[in-house]
Amino acid sequence: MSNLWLFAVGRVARAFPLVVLLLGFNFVMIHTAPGDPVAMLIGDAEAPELIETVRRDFGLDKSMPEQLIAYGSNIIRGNMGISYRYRLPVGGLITERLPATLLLMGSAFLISMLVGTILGVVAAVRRGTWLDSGLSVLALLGASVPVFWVGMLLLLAFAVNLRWLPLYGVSTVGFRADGIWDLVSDRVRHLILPSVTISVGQLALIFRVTRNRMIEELSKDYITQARAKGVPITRVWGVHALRNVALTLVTIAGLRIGVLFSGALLTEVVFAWPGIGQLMYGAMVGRDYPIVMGVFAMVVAVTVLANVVTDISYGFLDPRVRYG
Amino acid sequence: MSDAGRRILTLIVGSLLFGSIAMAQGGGGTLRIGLNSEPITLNPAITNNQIDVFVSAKVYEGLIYVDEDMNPVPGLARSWEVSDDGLTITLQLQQGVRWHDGVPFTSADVKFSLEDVVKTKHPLGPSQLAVLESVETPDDETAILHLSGPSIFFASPYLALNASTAPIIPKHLFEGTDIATNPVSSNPVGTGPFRFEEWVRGSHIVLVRNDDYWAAGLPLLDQVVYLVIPDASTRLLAFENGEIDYLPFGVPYSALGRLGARPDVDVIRFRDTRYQIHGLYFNVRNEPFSNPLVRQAIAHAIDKQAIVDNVTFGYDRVANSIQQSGSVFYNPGVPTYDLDLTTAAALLDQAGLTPGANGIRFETVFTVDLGAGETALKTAELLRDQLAKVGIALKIVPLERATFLQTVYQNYDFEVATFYGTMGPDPSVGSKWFVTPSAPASFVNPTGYSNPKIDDLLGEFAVQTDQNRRRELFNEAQDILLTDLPYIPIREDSWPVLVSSRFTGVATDMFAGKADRLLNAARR
Repeated sequence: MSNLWLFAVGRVARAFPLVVLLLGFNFVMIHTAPGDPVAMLIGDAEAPELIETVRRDFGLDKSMPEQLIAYGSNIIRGNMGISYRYRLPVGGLITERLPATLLLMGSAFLISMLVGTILGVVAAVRRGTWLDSGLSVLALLGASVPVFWVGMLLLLAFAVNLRWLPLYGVSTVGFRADGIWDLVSDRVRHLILPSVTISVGQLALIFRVTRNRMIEELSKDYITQARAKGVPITRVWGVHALRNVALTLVTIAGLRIGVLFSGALLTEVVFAWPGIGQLMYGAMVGRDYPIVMGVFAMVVAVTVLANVVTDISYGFLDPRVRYG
Repeated sequence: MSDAGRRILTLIVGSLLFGSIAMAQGGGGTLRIGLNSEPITLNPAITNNQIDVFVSAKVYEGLIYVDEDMNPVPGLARSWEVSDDGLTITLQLQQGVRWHDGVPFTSADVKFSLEDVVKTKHPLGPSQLAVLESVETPDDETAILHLSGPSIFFASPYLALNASTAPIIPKHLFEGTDIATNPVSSNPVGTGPFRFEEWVRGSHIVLVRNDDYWAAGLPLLDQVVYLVIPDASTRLLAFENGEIDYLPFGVPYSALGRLGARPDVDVIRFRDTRYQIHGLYFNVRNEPFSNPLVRQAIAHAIDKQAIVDNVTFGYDRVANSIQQSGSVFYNPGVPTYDLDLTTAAALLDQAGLTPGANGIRFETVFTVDLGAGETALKTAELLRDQLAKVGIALKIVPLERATFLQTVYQNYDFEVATFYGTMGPDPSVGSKWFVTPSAPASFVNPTGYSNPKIDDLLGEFAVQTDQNRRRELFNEAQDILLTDLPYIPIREDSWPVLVSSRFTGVATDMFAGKADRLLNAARR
């Protein structure tokens, strides 16, 4: 096995204890938080025996270490448990909602990367102009405002006042599509506001990083040399400099998957988007531990995986890392 | 011609030809209802969650309903007869009713639902059906209920046998299965006016008209769509945009003035039968609230009208008792406490709570239930200002519902807390707030108030079947409670809902409303 593969396996192995630790920590946090799932489910029951039966069904009558062990052995077997409220397997509930959330995150990711990079390059090459300053101020604003506030403003402007776009949901309920184009257009119209909402923060970050890294690259000798050799200026920006900036961008984007995900969770509630965020929101309010832990396990897995992949791709791209 | 135009023409021609029959079948249309959260299950026999019942009670039915004047009317039982000793109830069931899958509905379904499911698995079943010994089924259309003793819930059969507390579910689909995980619990097959069509989790639920419904010509609507929109602002915007026709839950009072002025919106305030009272609880186990003088002083220091005006924009009414003033069980002679800061101060002095150098007599914590709605926190802030005038420093601690339930109802770890609840049309449902609790449980008396006289009065109230005697008992209980004041009622909630004026017959009063079947709802 090559050094590179050993490096990759090593990184994965190193991530494993971290995942276990995080899941255990999460379990303890949720179970020690105030609130009783059974009270939330059948709190108005006047029959103690019914409450005890339900508590036993959920395994909540056992001590916390026993519950933790049961949870651990289930997780190892790939079983995330049964939702207290829906009485359905958590894995199924999450996979049912996952496509909607991934669609939202995916579009937000694309928007922030594309627009952020383009604006970043524009600001860098127009450094010091009113355009640069304007974009930088906007980026500062975009990075500071809370997601749900952006969502509400966009709703008021585009769905209520202008009525260009729908208010909520993933598609129009009861909508009979007249051909595939109709269906796609309905979906896209629903997707625009929530994905723009989530992308704002990420976009601002990508913009700032691109701008600063571009300015740094553009002052380097190889750029001057390329210019001296007569390479067209747009090619110098777009190919020579941007390629070096891209590595930084990929790293940041990978590390920020978790942030993007939490943005999606908040946005889903505002836009009534039937994804993981809404599932999680209901589960938190109702103290449905298995769902909360299931979603958290997924976020942990995705975040750690994104980090590992970033690490490994660095190893592939930069030999120094492998032997470090 | 447009679709709507064609429909109107058909309706006009139809009504000319068939008169009342065409009228009964007119209306139609799709009613879009905005929900603040998604149902957990669509099986009303195992849940008492408001949203679950609100949705599933259009598909499943109870045996007996009430009309707007609280008189019992037929549901799946077309008539009923109570024996002289009150221990035998003979129900004659509707004839020719079929489940939505085509299987005939019989008395065996009633026996199965009541004995095997509701009595043991419904959150309220073990208490409300405690006296139900057995259901006898001499033939398919007769169910005879045998009771072991008198019970308030059977004092009016409606209380025990309504769609919310005793829905009838199909034996042939549920028998021998785990009711909670049975797929039919999320794909319901009922006898009700609407059939279940689809549930896209996190998004919407669609019900369609049951063309074979046993009440001829009903329902009027073609379709009911429930849209799940958790965010309150988005939900309201969707209503304002005309994307939702009916908002039954969580309408902010602050929006009523603006929306009420619109010609295409009806603001409907439920009648007195809604029975929601907002106020506060004292933890009477500890100083200083163990002293009734302190509680009475606070009652004199609260400006209830100011709270009604500022928090509900004048939409609600001041509450004087623990039962809403429109109820037959309301005691109009109950002790009241006028806003009187001098008396309040005198009572506090008498209790030994004199002002310190900074003018403060004592500090206390107000635990606020955020699950009681947007009004809970605003009320707390007004109370803080009002009580400051008599030297009581109120510190507000807002808690979300799950934490609140545990803190207040299970751990009793509070001093003053949000009090919010419904008594039901008959206080038997809510009177558990006042009796000495046998064990900590959500939504029972957390105050530590224990009065043998009240326990006796409400104990007799719960088994007494003579309504006049029951009124006497409850009047006396109200006198005692409003003297002792473990609770201070502040306002009677009118629970405003928003309905598009394109529709009629949508919102009825709450107790029936939760299990309302939308039989007469229609497009205008």
